[in-house]
Amino acid sequence: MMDCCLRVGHLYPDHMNLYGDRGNVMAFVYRAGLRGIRVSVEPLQPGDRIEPGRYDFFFFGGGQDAEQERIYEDFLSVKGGQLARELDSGAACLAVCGGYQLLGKSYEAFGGKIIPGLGWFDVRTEAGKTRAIGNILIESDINGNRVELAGFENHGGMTFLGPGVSPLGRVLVGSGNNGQDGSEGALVQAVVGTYLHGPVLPKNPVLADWLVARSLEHRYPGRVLEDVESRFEDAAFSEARRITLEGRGVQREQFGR
Amino acid sequence: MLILLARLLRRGGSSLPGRVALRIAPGLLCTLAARIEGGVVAVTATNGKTTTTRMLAGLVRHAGRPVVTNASGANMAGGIVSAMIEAASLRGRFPRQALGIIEVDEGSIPAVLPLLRPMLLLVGNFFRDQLDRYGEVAILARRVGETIATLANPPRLVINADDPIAASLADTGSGLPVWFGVDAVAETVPVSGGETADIRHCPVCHAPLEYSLRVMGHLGRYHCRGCGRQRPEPDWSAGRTLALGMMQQEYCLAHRGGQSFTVRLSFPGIHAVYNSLGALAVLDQLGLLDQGAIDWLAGFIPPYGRFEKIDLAGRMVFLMLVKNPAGANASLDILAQHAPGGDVLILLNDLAADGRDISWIYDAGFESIAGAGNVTTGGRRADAMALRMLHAGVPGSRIESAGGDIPRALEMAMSKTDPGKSLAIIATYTAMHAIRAVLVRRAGIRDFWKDGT
Repeated sequence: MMDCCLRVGHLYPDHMNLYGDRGNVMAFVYRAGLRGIRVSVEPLQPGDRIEPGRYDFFFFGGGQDAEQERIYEDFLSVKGGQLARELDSGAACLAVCGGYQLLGKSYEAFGGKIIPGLGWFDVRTEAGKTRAIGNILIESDINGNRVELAGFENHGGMTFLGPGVSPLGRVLVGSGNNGQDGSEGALVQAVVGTYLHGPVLPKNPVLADWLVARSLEHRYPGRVLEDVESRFEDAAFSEARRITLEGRGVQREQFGR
Repeated sequence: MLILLARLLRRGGSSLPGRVALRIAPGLLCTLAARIEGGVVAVTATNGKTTTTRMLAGLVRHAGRPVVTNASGANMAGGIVSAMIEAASLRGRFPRQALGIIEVDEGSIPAVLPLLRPMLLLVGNFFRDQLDRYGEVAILARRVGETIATLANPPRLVINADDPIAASLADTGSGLPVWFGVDAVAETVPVSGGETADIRHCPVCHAPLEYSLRVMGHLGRYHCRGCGRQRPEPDWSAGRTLALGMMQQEYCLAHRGGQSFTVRLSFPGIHAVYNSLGALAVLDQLGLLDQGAIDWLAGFIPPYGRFEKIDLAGRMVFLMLVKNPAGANASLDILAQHAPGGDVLILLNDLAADGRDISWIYDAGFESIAGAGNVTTGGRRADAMALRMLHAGVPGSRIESAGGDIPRALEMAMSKTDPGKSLAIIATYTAMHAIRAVLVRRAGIRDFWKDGT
């Protein structure tokens, strides 16, 4: 597969980079590299345009409030529409925390103002009374297999899914989308929205590989991803899973003191 | 009576007696702080506050003044009260002319500052730290500013001019701040690049910041393209920095009024320059800065785990405490420059004091030590750390995870390091306590409660 080359568009890497987010891009590149697939990563900064058909995978991380405000205008009036077009035509995407909220219909900002998002996901986010902070474990269905995904969540928003959106998974330990309905994240076509960081892709190679496979399918229809060794990844997942299960029942930490 | 009770509860440096005392008498911190005759200097920062506090306390003591300080680094309300109880007489009095040199956790500023009522507040830096504890950097800085501004008698601020976030507090203190900053960086001093800078935008107008000199993370000579805000001209500046081997460096300390000193430090890194700059600027405000202070500083040894060097069975072992990406990058750069190819043991815990969220290991540039020899990982998140080093570019064949057993991790790492070679131990807060406990037994090093102050 040495002739394969995938291109990643990293949305606003200087602004939306809150929780080790670049680790997701590293893991994507690493897992593709194990199959001999070369990956080039290009930053998509405010003012940059998304060239049609250029990218196979988009990564959109979370940001501090002030940084998120900085990119909001550019995202809604310039890149958002271009991104929606690419996602509609099968490009893969991982959106974490703030990026996930911005792909939704709306979110509630600090102070109660309702701010419109891109609306690619039929989800809306309200401000929660407390922050959901802690280790999280979910179960998901990927390629027809039941798998568990582990991460860390830290969000004040409560996200509710509309009728046309499937969750990424069901919460086993933690809060997930809203702490009420047991759902976590969103999954539509090849686009994943989630509150899992940690970052999520390094220690969840199943999800990383699924995104690489969907990106490969986007560029080279019919190509299948071969199996590779995941000793380090599996160990990190098991460690996170064990610590999360041990911490279950411990009072969840909340924002502020 | 309360003091006696609290003393009975004493366990070297812990915050327990203070927490108990505060439960019985919530006004105790306020009462005790007011009795410190010479007044209180508060020190806060994300990185370097413990080192700076120790340094400053040592300098003041060297100048012949009694000091009340929380030397063990217990820097929230309970720990501060514990330290005061420890220093007070049974009647709750302090020595005449005593000065309080108190480290305050940046997240505890809103709770502690109104009670402590310092005359000077040293603001070292704001970096992205344990986000699960404090929320975002901007919110944290805003809270600190609001707290200072609402005090009846705000302290005079001594601020790191190179940090745009710290500098944004300038108007909240009393009178003009005292500024300190780094004017020039020699190539021989490791500098962290902007790759993982926490702050890229003006804290006031949010336009991008530009740098004519980047010193460490977002620290440097910045100006804002939007509102024109720029790095203030420092009252005290460091120039001509020069590394003298791995453990020593010197720089030229200059006052804008013309006074200057050659400062020598026995520990490495540009962050050490910042820590000493802040301490010396405060010392000057106290009227105690002279050549004798500069001479004393050359022999200062930082608190445990800050580039501590230990001979262990013929191997040269370095201990480095890491808490967040900026601090880690500073340490990793020094390691990459002075011990390239050496073996490394990385101990990653995720307890409350370490930060429950370990995602910061992907913000830190472990790539700079991808050329390390053998990499062993340990601690509660040993396997996550092993994976991080794989992503940093270390071949899997050179990485081994020892799991959560820290003594075993040390054994594994030592077995791969030949006598005469170096082993750098990088550890988070609670892992550092654990590994030091092992080293106290094995190498006979000092217990840190008895560390030199």
